[in-house]
Amino acid sequence: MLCGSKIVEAMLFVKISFFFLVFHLRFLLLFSNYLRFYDLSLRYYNFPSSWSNFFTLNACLDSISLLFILIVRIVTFIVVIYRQVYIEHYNNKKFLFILILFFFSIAILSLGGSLLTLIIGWDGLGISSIFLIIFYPNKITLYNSILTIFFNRLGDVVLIAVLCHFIYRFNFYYFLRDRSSIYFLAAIFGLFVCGFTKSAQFPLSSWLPAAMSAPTPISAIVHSSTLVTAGIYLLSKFRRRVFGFPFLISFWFFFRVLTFLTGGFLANLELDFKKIVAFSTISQISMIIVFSSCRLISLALLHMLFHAFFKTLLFCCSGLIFITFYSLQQEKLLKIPSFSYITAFLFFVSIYSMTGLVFSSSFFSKDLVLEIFCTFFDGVVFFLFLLGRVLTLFYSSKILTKCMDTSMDYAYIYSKKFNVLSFLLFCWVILLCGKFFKYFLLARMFPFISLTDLYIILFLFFLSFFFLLRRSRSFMRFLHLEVSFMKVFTYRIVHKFFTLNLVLQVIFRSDFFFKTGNTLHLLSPEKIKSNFSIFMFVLIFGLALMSRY
Amino acid sequence: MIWWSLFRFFFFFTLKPIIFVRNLCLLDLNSMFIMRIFPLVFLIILGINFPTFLLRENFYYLFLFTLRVAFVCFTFIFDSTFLFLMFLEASSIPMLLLILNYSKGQDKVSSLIFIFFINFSGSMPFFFFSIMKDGQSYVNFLDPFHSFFYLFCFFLLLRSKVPIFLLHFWLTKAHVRASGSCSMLLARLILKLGTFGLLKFSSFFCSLFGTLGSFLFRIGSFSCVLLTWVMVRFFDVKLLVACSSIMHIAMILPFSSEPMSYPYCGRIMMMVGHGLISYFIFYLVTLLYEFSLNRSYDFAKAIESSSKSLSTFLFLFMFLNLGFPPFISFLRELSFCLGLYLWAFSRLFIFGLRIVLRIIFLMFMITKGSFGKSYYLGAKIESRLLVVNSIFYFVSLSVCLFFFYCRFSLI
Repeated sequence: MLCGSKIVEAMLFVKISFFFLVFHLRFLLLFSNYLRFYDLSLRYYNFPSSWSNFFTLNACLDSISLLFILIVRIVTFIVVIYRQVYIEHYNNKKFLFILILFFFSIAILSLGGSLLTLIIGWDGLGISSIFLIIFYPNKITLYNSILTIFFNRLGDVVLIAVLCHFIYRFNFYYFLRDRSSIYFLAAIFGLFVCGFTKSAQFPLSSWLPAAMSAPTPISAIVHSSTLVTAGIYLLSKFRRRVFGFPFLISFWFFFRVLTFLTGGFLANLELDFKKIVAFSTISQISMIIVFSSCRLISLALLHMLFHAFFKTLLFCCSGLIFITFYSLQQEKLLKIPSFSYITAFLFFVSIYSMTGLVFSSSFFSKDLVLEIFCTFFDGVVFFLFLLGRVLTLFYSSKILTKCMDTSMDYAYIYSKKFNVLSFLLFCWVILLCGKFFKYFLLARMFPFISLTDLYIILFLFFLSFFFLLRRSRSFMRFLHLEVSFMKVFTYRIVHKFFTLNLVLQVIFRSDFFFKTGNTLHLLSPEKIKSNFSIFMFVLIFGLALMSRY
Repeated sequence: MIWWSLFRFFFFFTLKPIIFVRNLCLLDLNSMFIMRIFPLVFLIILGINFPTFLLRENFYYLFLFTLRVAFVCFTFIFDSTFLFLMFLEASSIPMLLLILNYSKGQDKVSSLIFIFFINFSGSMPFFFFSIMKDGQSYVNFLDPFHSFFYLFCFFLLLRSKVPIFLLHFWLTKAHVRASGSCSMLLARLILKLGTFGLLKFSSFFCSLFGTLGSFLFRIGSFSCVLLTWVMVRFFDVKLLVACSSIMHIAMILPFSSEPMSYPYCGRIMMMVGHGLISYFIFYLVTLLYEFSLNRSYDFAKAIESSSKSLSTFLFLFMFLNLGFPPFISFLRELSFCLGLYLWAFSRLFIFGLRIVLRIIFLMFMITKGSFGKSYYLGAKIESRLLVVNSIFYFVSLSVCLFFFYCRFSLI
C-alpha cells in the first residue's frame, strides 16, 4: 500500500509539473507560427583573429524546440512516477540525479541556436546515457556500455570536426555562406554521421539493442523516445541547407528506407522482448527521418510525438510484466498476469498504435505519408514503404499474440501500481486522440475534430475495455482473428495498389510525378532496361502475393 | 594571506606586458595567466590537510613548499635565460628534499639519483646555450648548424622537464615514489615549467619545429595508441593518471611552430587545464590511498558503493580530463583540431582517432570504480570535507575560466 507521505509527495510533484505544463503550453501558443523564433546570443569566447567566426552561445526558441522539450518533459514526468514501482529501493537518488542531468542536457540541445551550444547537450546526453546503462553493475552492462560509449564518442569527434568546418568556412549560425563547395558536402556528410550515430541508424545502429540492458524505465525514457530523436533534431536544424542537393536527398532517403526495412526484418527474428522493441525503434526513427527528408517536417514531428508516447507506454507495461516474471525477457515465455486488466489493455493500445492501424494516433501520420507517397514519389519508394509497414505489422502481431495469453498462475496484485497506471493512461489518451494532435500541429494550433472522429475514439475506448475484461479462450481467438484480419486487410491494400498504381508507375517510370505536370511518359525500352531489376522484383513479389490471396 | 593572494591573482590582470628591474624581469600576459593558477596550490595542500598528514606537518615542510613555489614564480618572471635556468634548477632541489623526507618506500634514493642525474644532464648544455644567447644577437640563430645545436641543448633541458614519449620514465618514477602532495605539486608546477620554457623559446626554433612537426605529431599519436594499449594492464592509480598526463602533453610539441594561432591558444589551455584538472585527480587519488591504504585500483573497486561523493568527483574530473564541452579541456581539443584542419586533413583524422581511443582509459577507471565488490565498506571517507573542497575548487575553476575568456577577448 502507498504511504501517506509518498502520496503527498506525488501530489506535490503533480501540481508543480501541471503548473509548468500550463506555462509551457502558453509558450507553445506563442510560437504557433513556424516562422517566429527568438534568438539570444552571448559572446563567449574570442580567438585573436579577425578572419574567423566568433564563438557564441546561442539560445534559440521556436516551435520545434518547444515541442521537443514538451515531449521530453511529459515522458520524464511519466517515468519518474513509474520509477516508484520498478526501482523501488535501489539507488533512487542516483537515478534521479542522472535523469535530471539527462533532462538538462536535452534541454540545452533543443534550445541551442549554435553548434557550440548544441555540442554541450550532445556530450551531456552521451555521458548520462552511459551512466544510466551501467546502473545495474554486471558483466553484460559492462560490455554494452563500452560499445555504446565508443559509438557516442565517434559521433562527438565527427561533430567536433564539423565544428571546425563551420568555424573556418561558414558562419557559425545555421546559415551557411558558400554552398557549392566540397567542404559543404563534407560538413553535411559529417552531420549525417552524427545524426545516424545518435539515432542508431543502419551502419551505426548496433549500440541500441545492446543498450537495452539498462533498466526498463531508462529504456522507456532514453533509448526509445528522447535520446534517439536527438539525431533527428540535429538533421532537422540543417534540413533547409540540404534540400538544395538532390544527391544528398536521395542518399538520405534511400538509406533510411533501407534501415526501415532491416529494422523491421531483424525485429521479426529477435527473441528478446526488449530487443524487438529496440529494433522497432530503429525502424520507426528511420521512418521519421524519411518524413523529414521529404520536407514533411511537421508530420515528422507529429510522428515523433506519437512514437515517444507509444514506446513509453509499451516499455512501462512490459516492465510491469518483467517484474512479475522475475526479470524474464524471452518473449515466447511471457504472459500477462490475469489480474491486471489495465496493463493488458494499455499494452494492446500501444501496440495498436505502433502498427498504425485504423484510427489510432500514428495511423493519421503514417496514412497521410502513404497517400503522399503514392501520388508524389516513385512507385518503388511507395512499395518499399508499404513493405516496411507490413513488417511492422508482423512483429507487432508476434508480440501481441504471445503476450496477450493470460494466465492464473502468476497472480500478482498491483496494489502500488494503481498510481502508476493512472498516469500511464495519459499516454493512452494521446494515442487515441491522434486526429486532434494532427491538427494541433499541421493547422497551426487550431484543432478541428469532427463528431465522427470523436465517436470513433469513444467507440474504441469502450470496445477495448469490453474485450479485455473477458479473459476466456474465445477472447483470445477473437484477438488472433483480429490480427489476422489486419494482415489480410493490408495485403489487400498491397494487391490493390499493385493492380492500379504501382505497376503502372514502375512501367512508365515518371520521376517525381508531381513535378512533370501529371503527364505520363510513354513506355520506352531504355527505361524498362534501366529499371529491369526493380521491375522484375516487383512483378515476382506481386505474383506471389496474388497467388496467396 | 592565502585569500589575499587569491584575490590579487584573480583580479589583477593587465593588457600590456610589464618590464621591470632593468629588462631582467618580464610579466607577459601568458605568464601572468599561468601564474594565476598558483594560489590554488595553497588552497588544498596548506589550507585543508590530509588526515594522516596532520601528524607530520611541521615548519620544515612548509618552508620547503613555499621555497618551491617562490622559485617557480621567479622562473616565470625572469626574462634572462641564465636566470631562468638557475631558478629552474633551484626549484628542483626542494622537490628532491620533499621526496626524500616525506615519501615511503626503500628505493626512493635510487629514483632521486635518477631524477637528479637527468636534471643535471639536461641543464649543463643549456647553460652554454644561455651564455651564448645572452652574448650574441639573434642573427646567429638563423645559421642552420648553430640553430640545430641550440635546439639539441634545448631539447635536453626539455626532456628533463617535459615528459616526451620514450623519455618520460622520470615522470612515472617520480609520481610513483612521491607522496600525494608532492605529486600534486609535480602535476601543477613542474610540468608547467617545461612547457612554459617551450612557450618562451619556441620563437627561436620556429622553423625547426615546423620541419620536425610531422615527426613529433606521429610520435604523439603513436604514444597515445601505445599507452592506451598498456594502461589497461596497470593497477597503480597514480601511474595511470601520470600516463594520461603524458598523453596530453605529447600534443604540445608538434604545435610549437606557429606563434599566434589556434594551437598556440590551445597549448596555453592545455597547460592551464591540465594543471587544474590532473592536480585535482591526484588529490582524489591520494584521498583514496589514505582510506584504502593501497594504491592499487583493484582495492578501490566499487568505490561508488562506499563513497558516492568521491566517485562522483573522480568521474567528473575524468570527463573534464577527456574534454567535456563548455570547459577549458574541450576548447583545448577544439583548438588543436582547428590547427590540424589547416595543416592536413588526414592528421585531423588521426587526432580524432586519438580522442576516441582515450575513452578506453576513462571507461577503465569508471568501470573499475562502479563494478565489482567493495573491499573497504566499513571505512567511509569524510564526504563532507571532500564535498566542501570540491565545490570550492569547482567554483574557483570556473572563475579562472571566466578570466581566461576575458583575457582572450580583450586582445
